[in-house]
Amino acid sequence: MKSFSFLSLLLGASAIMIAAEHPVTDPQIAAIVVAANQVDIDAGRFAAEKSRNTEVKRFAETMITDHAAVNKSAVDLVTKLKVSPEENETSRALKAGGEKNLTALRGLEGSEFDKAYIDHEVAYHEQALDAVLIPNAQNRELKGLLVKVRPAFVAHLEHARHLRASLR
Amino acid sequence: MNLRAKISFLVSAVLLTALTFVGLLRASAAGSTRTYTVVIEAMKFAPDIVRIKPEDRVRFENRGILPHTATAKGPKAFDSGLIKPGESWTSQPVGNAATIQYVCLYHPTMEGRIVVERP
Repeated sequence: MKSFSFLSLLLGASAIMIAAEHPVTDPQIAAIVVAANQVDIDAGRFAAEKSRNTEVKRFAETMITDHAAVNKSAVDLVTKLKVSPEENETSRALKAGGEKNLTALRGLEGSEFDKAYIDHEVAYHEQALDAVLIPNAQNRELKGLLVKVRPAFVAHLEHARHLRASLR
Repeated sequence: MNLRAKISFLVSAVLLTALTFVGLLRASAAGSTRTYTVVIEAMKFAPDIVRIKPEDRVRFENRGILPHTATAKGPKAFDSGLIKPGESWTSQPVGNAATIQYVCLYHPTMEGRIVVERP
């Protein structure tokens, strides 16, 4: 099961590396943002239901609320800009990584589940808003939204790290 | 209008003005309530420390894109509930001197403090 988690992380990391090697367009960034948020919403929903740890459940609920809010802002913006999200290697890889993570989590229970979920959340939020998406965004408003969202991802990462330490 | 009516009108106007003035003075002497604004943006409360008088209020204004709360525990507890992006919530006057720590329930890294000082 640990190998599944590792594989899902690898897929996620590869997704960002693919984007780093090939410049991404605004429609592709839109698809990546929506995919990235949806992956964390799905993981959050699963964890909120399965975990018996109050703090892990609360974290999962925050992920659902926050990533849904970011997705709403992103969808509202691309609708306004008449930009159609364009699926690409990175968005597909993120989704595949998300599915692998859920498959791994389904096989775990109790504290093992909590640790695996939070470990994945730490790694997931360490990924590259800074390295790829923000530098590549061409549209000023899209770039502005990504910059505005960045503190939330930093806070999520800090929260996840704190939780991971408490679960050890 | 004859002269008597004019004088009556003038006296009434002067009396009304004087009474209004006295009323305003009394209100200001009692201490006017102020509302201080704390902006919620970029995962922070700004300013993170606000100093107020016991009769003052604090207005939390969410200018970010995520929902937050402003929640304080203890004897001076308050809870804004969910403050959605673009919305705000105002606290009630505390009533006496105190230091109140508050957090966002969704984002525990977000903290602030209200210092209620005696006049």
